[in-house]
Formats: sequence, C-alpha cells, structure tokens
Amino acid sequence: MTQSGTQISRTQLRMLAVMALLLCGFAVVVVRAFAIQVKGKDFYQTQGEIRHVKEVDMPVSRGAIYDRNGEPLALSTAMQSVGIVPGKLIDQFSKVEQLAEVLQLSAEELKQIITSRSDRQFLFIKRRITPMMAEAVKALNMPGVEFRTEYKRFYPTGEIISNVVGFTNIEDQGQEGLERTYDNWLTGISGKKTVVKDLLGHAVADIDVDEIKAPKPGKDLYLSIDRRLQYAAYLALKKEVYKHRAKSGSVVVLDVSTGEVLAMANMPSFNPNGSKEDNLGWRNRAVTDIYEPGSVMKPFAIVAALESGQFTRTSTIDTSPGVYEVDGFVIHDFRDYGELSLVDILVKSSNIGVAKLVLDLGREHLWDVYHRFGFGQSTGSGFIGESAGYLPPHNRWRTVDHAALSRGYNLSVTTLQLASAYAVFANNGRYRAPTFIKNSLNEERAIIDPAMAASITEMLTHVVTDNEGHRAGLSNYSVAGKTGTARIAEDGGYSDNYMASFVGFSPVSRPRLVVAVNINSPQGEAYYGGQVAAPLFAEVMKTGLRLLNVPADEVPLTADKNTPMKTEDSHG
Amino acid sequence: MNAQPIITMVLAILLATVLVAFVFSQNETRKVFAALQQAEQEKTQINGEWARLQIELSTLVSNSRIEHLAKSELGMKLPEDEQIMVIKR
Repeated sequence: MTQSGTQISRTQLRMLAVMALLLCGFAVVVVRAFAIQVKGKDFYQTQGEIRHVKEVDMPVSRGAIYDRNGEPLALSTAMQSVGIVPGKLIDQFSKVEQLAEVLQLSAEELKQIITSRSDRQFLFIKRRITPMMAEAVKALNMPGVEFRTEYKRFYPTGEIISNVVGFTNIEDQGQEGLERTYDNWLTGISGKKTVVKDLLGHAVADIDVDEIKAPKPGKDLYLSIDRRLQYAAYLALKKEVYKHRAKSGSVVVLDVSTGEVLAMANMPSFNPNGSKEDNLGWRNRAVTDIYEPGSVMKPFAIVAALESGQFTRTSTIDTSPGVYEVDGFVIHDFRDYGELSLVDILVKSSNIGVAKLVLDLGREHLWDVYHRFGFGQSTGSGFIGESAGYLPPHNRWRTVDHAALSRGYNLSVTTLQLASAYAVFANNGRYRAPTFIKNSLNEERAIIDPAMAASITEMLTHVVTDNEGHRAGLSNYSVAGKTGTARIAEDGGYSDNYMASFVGFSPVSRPRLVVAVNINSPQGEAYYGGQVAAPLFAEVMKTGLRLLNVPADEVPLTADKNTPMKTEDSHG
Repeated sequence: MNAQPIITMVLAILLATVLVAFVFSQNETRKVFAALQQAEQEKTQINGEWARLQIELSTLVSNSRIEHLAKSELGMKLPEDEQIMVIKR
C-alpha cells in the first residue's frame, strides 16, 4: 500500500509540477499580451499601418505629338512631385523647416498648411521638381513626405508652332489647340494596383492587378505638319510682320492633293514652355479669326460668271471711267482701265469689272458658288475653336451687297478657308477638307468642272506674269494666285487699316502646294497685298518647293537671266 | 493494424514538406516581385532618360541652331536665284 501510496503522490507531484509550469507559461503570455495590447498599442498600430495593404497609382504618360517626319513637337517627361501627409508631420516642425528650405518654400506657410489641414491624407506641396531637388528631398529621409510621378509637357519647337499645337494645364489636360482637340486620343488612363508594403514603404507583393485598372498610356499623334517648312514659314512671317509693324499675320501651307496642312504659322505667338501670362498669342488665327478677304474672292466671282454661260474668257466689260455707281454707292478702280477681258479683270483686279459681271447673274448663283467652295462653313479640319466665317443668305442681299460680295466684302473668311478654296483650282475642281493629321485624309468631292478649274488656274497665272515684277513670282517655277487688299471694318465703318493677303499655288503644271498668307494692319507706307503679302508668299512657296524637292516647271532657255524690274503695278 | 501510425507519420512528413514548400515559394514570389519592381523602376527611369535625350536631341537639331551653325561656322548660305541652274533631262 505504502508503495502504491508513494507512487500516487509521486504522480500527483509530477502533475502539479507540470501544471505549475503551464501556469507560469500562461502568466508570461498574459503579461506579454497586456504589454502588447495596452502598453505597446500605439507602437504596434503605426507599425501595422506601415505594413498595410495599399492601393498605388500607376501613372501613365500623355502621348507625344510628332510632325510628319517623326520630329517631336510635344513630349512628356516623368518628373517627381512632392506631397505630404500632414498628420505625420505635425510634431516634426524642425524637419519641416529643412524641407521648406530644400523646396524653396516658405516654412511658415508650410507649417500653417500642416496644422490647418492635418486631416488630409495627401497634399501636393511642390509639383514637377528637378531631379536634383528630388534627390535632396529624399536625402532628408522624412516619413510623411511622399513622391508621386507626374509628367511635364515639353515643346521642343517653342513659339514656332505653339498656337497650332496648343498646350496642357497643370493637370496634363489639353487646354488649347491640337492638345485640346485630340485630348482624348493623347490622354492615358492611369492604372491602380493593390500591393502589400513593407516597413520602408516598398511594395513586396501585389495582391491582384485588376484588368479594368490596368494603365493605358496615351497614344502618340503624328501631325501633317512638316517641321522644316513650319520653321521657314514662321520665320518669314515674323520678319514680314515686324518689317511692316503689322498687328498680326498668318501663313497656311496645304498639300494640294491631300489637303494636309504642311505648315500653319501665326503672329503673334507665345512660348509654350514659359509662363503663359499673356494670352495674345494663344489663338491659331489662321483658323479662328475671320476677316473680309477683299480681292482674293474675285476668282470665285469669275467662276460664277463663266458657269452662267453668259460670259467666256475673252468677253469684255467696259470699266470706264473707273468709277461706277450702284444704288448710290460708288465703286472705284485704281484707275480707268477701259475695256477689260475677264482675264484682265483678274490681272488688274478691277472692282468695277467683277461688279458688272455678277450684277448680270442671279444672286443665288453667286451665293451657291461661294457656298460650294466652303465659305460660310467650317472647313471640317476638326480644329477646336475653328470659325465658320460668314456668308449672308442671298435672299437678304441688296444690290449693293451683291456687288460688294463680288470683290470680297460683306462676307468673312478664315485664312484656312481661302487656302482650301484655292486648292480646288489646283486640284482639278475637287474640294478636300484640310486635315492636321498625317494619313487621315478627308473625302474629296468635285465642286466645279475640271475644265473650269484649268481655266481659272490659267487666268491666275496671268495675274502673276502679266503684272511685271509681281512679287509673288518665282524663278524656275510657275505661280498662280491672287492678291487681296481689304479695308478692315471697325466700329460700323471702314478704318484706315488694311488686310493684305495673297493666295496662290505652284507649280502650275502640276500643283503641289497652296500657300495663303495675310498680314493684318501693316503700319508702314506699304499696305497692298502685292507689296506686303506677295513677297511673303513667294518666300514661303520657294522654301516649300525646295524642301519637298518639287521639280521646276518653268526653266528659261537661256542661262543668263535678267532680274525683272521691281515695279508696284500690282495691287489689291 | 500497424498501418495507422505509419499513415500518420507519412502525413506528418507530407504536411511538413508542404509547409516548407509554401514558405519557400512565398519567399521566391517576394524575391521575383522585388526584381519585377526594380525592373519596372528601371523602365520608368530609362523612359524618362529617353524623353530627356529626345528633348536634348531636338534642341540640338533645332532649325534655328543648324541654320546658325551653317551660316556662322561653316560659312554656308542659300544660293541666290541667279546661282541656281535647272538641268532638264
């Protein structure tokens, strides 16, 4: 018994020992649990937060814009933007001062922002900083300071094409020009993914990349613009605008057969990389601004006259004595030209000649011709802010209006419309809406008889060749075109300011380029289209034909060429 | 009758293997993910550099700069109309 008794008590003793050990263990666990749960709460909570699962943005860049040869016109580069989590900085003001110094911000303002918006999760304090500055901020190694990748838009060509390409705002959205027109195409969709982050904020594992949230980078855009030609056109325009102290000016260069805009320059312009305080240069005037074009409209009135069948190329009109009264309104010619054929009406740009021609035709017919050439309607280029111009309905025309419309008054047009309309003569009578995008051609449609187009082209060639020393003339290339000099309407009347323009194409045997130029309010002695706009036209056309390697079509037989006398017989 | 402890044993070993394998694969995933992260970061960096180089290039080949260099350093100029001769074939 005693043996079994001691055995029992021995077993019991062993049990007790084990129990005691277990209890001790429990006690340790309880104490530890208390330490963690109650005493160490703050510490562990923040540690947990750092480790927690986070949704991170996957930023994407905006598509680049290139010219037709792949030269960049607008590019996005990744930059770092600095933001803060105010709550984490509220008790670290000494570090905040350092941060403010590195970022060149006011420490006081920064502190104030931190205290007043301490409930915010994230606040940008400086966006798109230089890589050097970003390094300096990283070196501070501050929790509560975070970086976000953002993209900065850069325009390598600067002011040369700024009002056509446009620009973006700080949120990377297109604000003006083609940047705005094609914003949807260019904008990427930034993605989101959920990741597990470690102590240092590095992602250690991604939980799942949701298909819908996958980033879609913006698509690149290839314009029809030729950067070299654009540069030449802009420089020539700038020179001309300064030379004549003009208010503004535009140049449009179109490819005759495709309707592609090869160059479009406007003055004044602006630097898209700088601060955009002055919005004077923002407008793409060639597309947004309308004006009464003047004599450049006369070829269209001639089309109406020829289509009516009442006149032929050689029909004559008596313009004597150089003054002609229509309903109490007097129309003047530069001088008394006497009897003029239709060709000579264009060559001399006789106001009386065209007025007499169109007054013999129905109003509806002249309206229809202008309408067919696209006046009074948007060209269909798609450019945001494009103006349709204005062509009054024919049932509202008085006889005076009828006559005025023949010489390009009482309607308003854009420079792009003029270029597109002249392209019809160069393109066998077919109209094609202009486009800014490479390989994206608009439908072509026949609007006048090809024979008619050829006939008008021949007449327009005479405008340049028959006016001796016409400044639109080129050596080795034949040119067809027409000047315009229109008084600018201001405050209900006509001012002493003029709109000088020239529209034409070359080479006539196989037209490649249409160039339309206008110079608004030249302040010097010269203001006629033939004096101000024609030389600019010639300069741009000459460069364009050279850059595109267009073969010469008018080669003189003898090698020695006498430079023709420069006379001033050509005018609006 | 003796099979049960053996099965238990086998299952225990299997379980241990699976657990080790899981830890191992988890570790591999982390490593590969870290490498991916780094590669992505590198990609962003390289893209950024590409854009910067493109900008630098476009500044270097800008028409105004080329024109200036051609005129001032190389003494080039555009031919006058009189100097141009067109040869017709």
